[in-house]
Amino acid sequence: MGEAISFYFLASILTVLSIAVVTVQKPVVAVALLVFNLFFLAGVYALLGAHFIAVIQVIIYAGAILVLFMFVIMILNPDMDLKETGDKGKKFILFSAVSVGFLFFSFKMFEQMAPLTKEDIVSEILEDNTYEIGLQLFEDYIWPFELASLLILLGIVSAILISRKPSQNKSV
Amino acid sequence: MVPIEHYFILALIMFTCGTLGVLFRRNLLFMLMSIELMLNAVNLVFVTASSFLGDLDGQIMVFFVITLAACEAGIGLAMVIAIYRRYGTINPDFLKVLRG
Amino acid sequence: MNWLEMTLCFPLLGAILNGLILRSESKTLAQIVSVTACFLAFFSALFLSYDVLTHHEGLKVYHLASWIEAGSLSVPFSFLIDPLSSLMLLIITGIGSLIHIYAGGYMSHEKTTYRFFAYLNLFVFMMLLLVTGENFLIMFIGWEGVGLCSYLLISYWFEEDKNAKAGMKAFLVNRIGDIGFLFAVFLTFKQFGTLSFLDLKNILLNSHTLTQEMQNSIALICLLMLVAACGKSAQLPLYVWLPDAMAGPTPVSALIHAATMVTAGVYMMTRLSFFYFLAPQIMTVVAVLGCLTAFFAATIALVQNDIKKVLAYSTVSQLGYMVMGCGVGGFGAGVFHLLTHACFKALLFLGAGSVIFAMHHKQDMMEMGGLKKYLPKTHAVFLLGVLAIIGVPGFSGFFSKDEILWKAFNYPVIGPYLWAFGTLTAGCTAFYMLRLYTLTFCGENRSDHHTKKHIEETPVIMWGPLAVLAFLSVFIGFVGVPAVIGDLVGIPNFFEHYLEPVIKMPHAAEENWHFLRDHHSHALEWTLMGTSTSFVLLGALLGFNFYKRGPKGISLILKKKFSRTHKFLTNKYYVDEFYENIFVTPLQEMSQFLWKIFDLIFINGFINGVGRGLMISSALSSWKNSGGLQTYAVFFVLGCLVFLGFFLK
Repeated sequence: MGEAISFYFLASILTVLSIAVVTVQKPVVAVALLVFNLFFLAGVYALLGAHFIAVIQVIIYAGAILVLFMFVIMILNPDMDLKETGDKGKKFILFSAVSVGFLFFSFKMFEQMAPLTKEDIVSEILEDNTYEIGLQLFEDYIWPFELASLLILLGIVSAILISRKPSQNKSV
Repeated sequence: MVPIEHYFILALIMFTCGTLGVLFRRNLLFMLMSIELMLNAVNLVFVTASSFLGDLDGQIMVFFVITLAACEAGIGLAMVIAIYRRYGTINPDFLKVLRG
Repeated sequence: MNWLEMTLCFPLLGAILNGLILRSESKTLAQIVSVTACFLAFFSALFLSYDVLTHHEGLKVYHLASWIEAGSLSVPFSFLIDPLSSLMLLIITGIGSLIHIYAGGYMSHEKTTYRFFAYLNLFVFMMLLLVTGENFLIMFIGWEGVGLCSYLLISYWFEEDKNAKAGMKAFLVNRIGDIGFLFAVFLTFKQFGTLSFLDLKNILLNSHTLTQEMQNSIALICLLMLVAACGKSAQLPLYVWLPDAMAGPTPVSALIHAATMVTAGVYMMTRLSFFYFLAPQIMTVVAVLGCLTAFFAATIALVQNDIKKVLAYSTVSQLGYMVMGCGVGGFGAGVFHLLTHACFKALLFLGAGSVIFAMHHKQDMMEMGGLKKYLPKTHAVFLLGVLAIIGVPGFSGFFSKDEILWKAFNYPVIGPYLWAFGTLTAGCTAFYMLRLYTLTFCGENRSDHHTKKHIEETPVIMWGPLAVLAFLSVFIGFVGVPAVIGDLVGIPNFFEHYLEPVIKMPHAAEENWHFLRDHHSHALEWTLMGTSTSFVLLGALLGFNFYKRGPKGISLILKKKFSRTHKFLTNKYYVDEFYENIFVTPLQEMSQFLWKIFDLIFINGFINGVGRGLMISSALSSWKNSGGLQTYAVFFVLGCLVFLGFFLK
């Protein structure tokens, strides 16, 4: 019962925060709200028994990626033009189209999804599975793991290359 | 016991928010943040399925998705900076280089 | 590497070295390369001929490589050396070498001599291919190759529109002949299944009777080959390109348009004599055509004022003799005339070239005269050439021309007419050659003061080869002294025996050609010879007397009296204008019509219509290509949703 209460509490906060993230005016506020969003999502993960992922979520997402966003916002001109542009009518039509599409899609999905019952759940939610994750990651998934490291390296290099000042680009 | 659909509905809400943000916010930074939101929604689906099915593969997938998200954020933000330097704006309405 | 490969590869190497690798500005280097190449080819040809004629019973096939192997068609790169082709090899490389030397002097004021010499060497190579090829296709490579080189060399001074057009005319007219050649090749393969000369010869020589179908196709092949020969050897009605080809440098005129390339038709007919013997009706056509060409061209040459034009028409006329010789069954006589003509016509052209060179590229005989004292050496050799071509007894032209006329006279039914026309032509030849000689070398000099001051004898590099050619022109005739004279003075007719193995009569044809073996009285032959010689002397006398005081006096009176005939002849019977109006203009108008109506309206309309339609449709559809990233993304997401919805149904 406690689990259900926690979930619905977290879910309602997450819904509000998600809507807020994409609607607030200032990027700084949006980033701050996103940080909270991720924290609460980590809570949901913990609720689901994925403690390792919950921790990573906090450390990497909230601790690293969003700090990056903060830096970029500070690098860019703080007075930058934040006005929304574009034809409002056209935007509204498209907005409603996409929303209706999503609604329709979700109804369809849940209508067709066979309701999962207790019996369908194969096993109990695994508690304290960090050890198993580590084992799997370094045994079965060693190659994707190494490739991921390569991807990160590429990401670093390309981020540096892309964001260099144009004047320095001449030497490349 | 919370049914699995409710987790999915939560993920769907987050995903829809992210999508609409990507599609209708005229600001590259907001678009990137919305993408993070979408990725998180997907992660939530993975973790939920993993827990309910008792299979750790879903969580490992989340691990890789977070790695990818880090890369994506790094490069995306670098591009935002480059674009801002080059054009003086990060509003995609003013970046219509692809106009036919 | 055997002698044949060396003969073939030296000129090719020279051409590649000069034209592609060295491209040297130095005239001396270019000339040394090409003359060396040509001389080496000459010596190789000499050894080759000696080797083949003494050690291999006068016939050897060199198989270098296989080329086309498709089903029953097998065309190797094989080459045939027999008396005929070795004779041609020696003419081409020998006279070619002399002309190469001469060209160094003649072209000494040019800028891109390496180009000239590269073309010249390439020409020699192609001509060698033509005469040594053992099958139709190798011959055809050479046939086309010499046409190409001829085109390149005629329009060598392409900066002048006239020269470029002359080259094109030569090329296009030759193309008509080449079509005949190609179709003859197709037909030969269809009928006999082989393209090898030796195989064909064996098939035809050993068959005693031929089916009607076979005879018809042989006649058709001969006719098509005659078309080819008409193009290459400048016979009626395709001769028009040769006079225009004089736009090229004079050594080119001497080598290509007098000594070698234009005789390719005669060579080809002799090579295929076993075919022609089997088609007597076509042979009659050949003989008449040759005779008419000879006479026709000679009459035009009577009134031309351009020194090279006279020689050009003279060449056409002499080629007519050769073709007539072939047509009456005297292939040996035709080839003999080819040999002597190559010597004296090369001499005459080069002599004319020396005159033109000394006169600073003036070619009008009306502005010459009295050059005897300025150019004594050129004058001497030129006079020998004139005597040789008009057929003064004892000179080479006499023997060969007389042989042809005698053979023509023996031809059944139309023989005497052929002879009469031939004799008349000989008279005309004497007249116009003496006219040319007199106007150029005798009397007073009529050029302007400035030119007169600068006339001087040509360098040794130019008159040296002339002297050699003059020697040949005088004495080469003694290799083929006709029997009637030979018996008297004790010189056998080497030449006829020399070519005997090449020109063989198929059994099936013998009944048509029995007259070749008939014996005629010597008295008749002497009479004919005397008649033609007196015609020659009469023509020469008239020519000399009419023009000895320049273009004045009696010649002027005659010109006034027969002004219409004169004008008709000066304008070359209006053949060019006739072709212009009948073929060229309608073609051009048709092309114009096609261009204006078909191209511009239909094709362009269609293409532009497609383009315009696309532009309109893309303008219509480009509203969605706003370039707005997010607009694209919206449609992408909507598309995804539709797609998913499709699957969730």
